[in-house]
Amino acid sequence: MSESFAASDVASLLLDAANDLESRSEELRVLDAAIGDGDLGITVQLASKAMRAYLASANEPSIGRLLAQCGMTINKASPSTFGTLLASAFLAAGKAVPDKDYVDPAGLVLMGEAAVEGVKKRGKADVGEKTMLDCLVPAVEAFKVAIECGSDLPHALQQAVTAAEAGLKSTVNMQSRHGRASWHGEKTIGVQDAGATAMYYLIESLARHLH
Amino acid sequence: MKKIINDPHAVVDETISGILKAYPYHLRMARESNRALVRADAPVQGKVGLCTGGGSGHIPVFLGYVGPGLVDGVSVGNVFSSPSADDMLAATKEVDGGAGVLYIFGNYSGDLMNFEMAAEMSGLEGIEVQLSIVADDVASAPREERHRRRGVAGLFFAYKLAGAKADTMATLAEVKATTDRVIAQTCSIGVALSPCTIPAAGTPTFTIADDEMELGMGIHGEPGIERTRLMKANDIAATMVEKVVSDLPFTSGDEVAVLVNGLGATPPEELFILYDRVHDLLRDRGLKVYRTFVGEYATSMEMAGASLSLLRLDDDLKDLLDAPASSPFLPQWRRA
Repeated sequence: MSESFAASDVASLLLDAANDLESRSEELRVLDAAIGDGDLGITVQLASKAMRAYLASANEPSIGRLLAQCGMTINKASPSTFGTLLASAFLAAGKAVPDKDYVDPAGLVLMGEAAVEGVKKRGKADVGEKTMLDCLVPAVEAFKVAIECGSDLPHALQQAVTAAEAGLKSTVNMQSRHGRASWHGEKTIGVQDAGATAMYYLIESLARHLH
Repeated sequence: MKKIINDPHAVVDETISGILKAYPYHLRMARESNRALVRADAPVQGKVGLCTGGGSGHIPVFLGYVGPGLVDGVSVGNVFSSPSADDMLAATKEVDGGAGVLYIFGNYSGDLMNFEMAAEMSGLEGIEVQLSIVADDVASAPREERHRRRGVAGLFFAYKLAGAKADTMATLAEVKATTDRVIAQTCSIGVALSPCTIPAAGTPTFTIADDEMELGMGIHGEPGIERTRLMKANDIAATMVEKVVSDLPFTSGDEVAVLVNGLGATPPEELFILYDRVHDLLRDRGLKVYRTFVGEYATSMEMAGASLSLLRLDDDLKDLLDAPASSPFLPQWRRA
């Protein structure tokens, strides 16, 4: 199989991911309502809908600009915490491959690393603080290691999803340090983080459709 | 859910539309966003522009504070949800009178991220932007972790005094310094009796028994310090005064402005019953009440409850507090 992707491939990939994520919105709403402010379900719905609308008419040959536009679209549709961080991830990933018409696995690594830095900077957060980073960071690291060790793309994606899942589960025993959840303090221990859950579904969906 | 609405998803836009029809001489919509509003005569040339914003559902926060002597522009998001950086940028562009823009907003992660993004985007447009973050809720974090505190009704004092300072044609740095000084001298605490319902969600933000109250609950239903049996007004007043006064701390001889704020469903009668005791308790502690504000200054839709905010004053801040300001949402402010 080909291991490089054109902007149109990325657009259809993001479309699939938006649909997948939207199908999880009720589950995410319930999870977020437990310790957050309960708006994650709405966020995911609005962001998915806006992404679909944008991608349906997008004819953007540059992957960098496509991702940047997706980021702005998400932020406009849903400037909640999750929406803004997701937008920051897209904007940063787009900047990492500015004028590329196609991306290969090494480019995907760069995009993943840039996304991590974008989220860390905007959210002033790091791993271990019960956020989407606990899922995203290990996934990107595992993917990078696999690619650098010469794995093929399907195997590297599998490694990323496995790491994302382990990262997601690790949020259960963490205490929230950010956002509205942090005001629940120790009560957040024992509850899986909603933002990390949404990030897991996104990574899982992207990996499945890239496969 | 029992509300006078049409479509739960149209609540914010229809609210804005109604306000613009009611007060066309005070407010207008920004050209590049239907979620950004500015004072009708914006920008004021040479004056530092003040912008605020945040989630809807808190009127008069945020729209109600747009006006002469107050802030110049706002951006509003969905109920309890930040506006986008784009909306903020749209307001910023139209309030910039060439002296830069100060963002004044409550300390919530979504708002902070979007205002920071908007500040970066404004910088690219050649508009200098500074940030002043209101974090006055003493119940939301201990004093040593003030940077984690939420912004609640103390926003009112920040807007009022920042607006007056900007009207003196002070520089951006000076307006920010004064605003930050006001924020540092403001402490608030709230008590909630019943929840509100976000229209698009349809269910109450929390549950509480009929005979219970929650001390320190936030304006989006964030958990407070403790849930207790509903106390008498005098006991609520005593608890609130103690928490607020001991935090800064306010000490004998301090002159203060007092705000007793209703959260939306609590009638003015109850706010004055609360103030009746608050006033005496402050006097007993040797504090001098310079000005008092009682009414709805920061609400949470139909949440029942109230908050108490104190601002420690000096001569400069007293002048700024008394400077003229005008907004259809603040009727007592024709001329102090």
